Amino acid sequence: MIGIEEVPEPDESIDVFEDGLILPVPAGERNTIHFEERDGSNIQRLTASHVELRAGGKTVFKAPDVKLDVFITDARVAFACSKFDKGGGWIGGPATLVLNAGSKALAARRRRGKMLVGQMRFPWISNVGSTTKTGWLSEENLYFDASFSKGESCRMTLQLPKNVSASRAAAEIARRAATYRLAVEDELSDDERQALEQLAECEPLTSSVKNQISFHQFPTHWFVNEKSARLSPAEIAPAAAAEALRSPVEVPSATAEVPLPAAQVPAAEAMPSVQLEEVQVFCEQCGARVGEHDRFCASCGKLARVETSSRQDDPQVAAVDQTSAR
Amino acid sequence: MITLLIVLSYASGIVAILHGLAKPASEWVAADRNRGYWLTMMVTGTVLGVGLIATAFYVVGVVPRYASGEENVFRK
Repeated sequence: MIGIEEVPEPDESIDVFEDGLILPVPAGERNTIHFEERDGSNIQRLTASHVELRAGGKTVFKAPDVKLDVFITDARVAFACSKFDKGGGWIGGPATLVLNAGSKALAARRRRGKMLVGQMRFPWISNVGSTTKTGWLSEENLYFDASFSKGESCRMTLQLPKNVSASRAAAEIARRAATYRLAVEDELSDDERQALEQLAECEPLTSSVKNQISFHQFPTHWFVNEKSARLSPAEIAPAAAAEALRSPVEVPSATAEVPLPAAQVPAAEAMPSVQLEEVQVFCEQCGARVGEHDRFCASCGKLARVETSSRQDDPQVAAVDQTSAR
Repeated sequence: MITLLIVLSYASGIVAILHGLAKPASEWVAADRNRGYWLTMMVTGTVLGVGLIATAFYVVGVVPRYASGEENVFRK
């Protein structure tokens, strides 16, 4: 979701779709990323000054006082920052001029060839909300709630300038996310579909109470992993992504440890490149493909389980006001 | 001559401060410059009589970075 990535060389061949599943692929220019086909052409650009990721009640990543270019596309909200490490900060007498200059030079050297990038793909979003600047101690903030697995939720916060309406941005993101999910997910229940259709036409939410977050809630969402990152509209889904999504690994029980035997896979769903006797298993923790006979995931080392339909059902459909944690 | 310099110093400092205040917060963020820090520096420089120097720093370090004609659809 958020990380510091190396900027690919101009002559380096990259697969933007595969390489950008969890983190966007930085581009050569400052504060830019490589866009995918599913990002579409209507990309709205914002500037943010602060990004924070909280998980498990702790701040796991924070970048204050930076310039982030935020991109709202048809498939995700992504951001990039080239100058994420500024250095400086020395205060005092004349010597601070030299110290600050040296610190800034070292910081420039540290961040050379790297970029701070992050993204929130629309299937991952369980809630998208905002707060409004109403005084000294409030800000125009965008909030994104997501989950890595059952019980492991996270919140990403972007701080916008005070003359930018975070509530309008949140509504735009909610509309685009709902539209995207309606386009890529075939197996939606009537309630889910109705809720997403309502979200696809939602209006900005406002609150007169200081620091109260107004959320647009999604009925269900996907865990943050490579499988959910591959969700794409059928007409532009790369072949590899389509194969991964059609892998028959859904099981009714979240605690099942044994892969489905091949006999339970309907023949119509099997891809030509996948033999009926080969069962596709994905790690429940990181989403990486696991060998048929492997008990443990080679990527993260966790016990390999058959991945459930990793959507988290949420009984509440309407937007709920929550007080922000300060 | 000295009087002229003093007048120019204060005038340029005031103009630069007003220019900075008129710029919206989003343009300061897009310029990757701290609005509070720069306005404080310009006010301090103007009060101390070195408004010309403060203005020069502002013109060189901030003004070229302002986004020109960038549309912000979410502007209040």
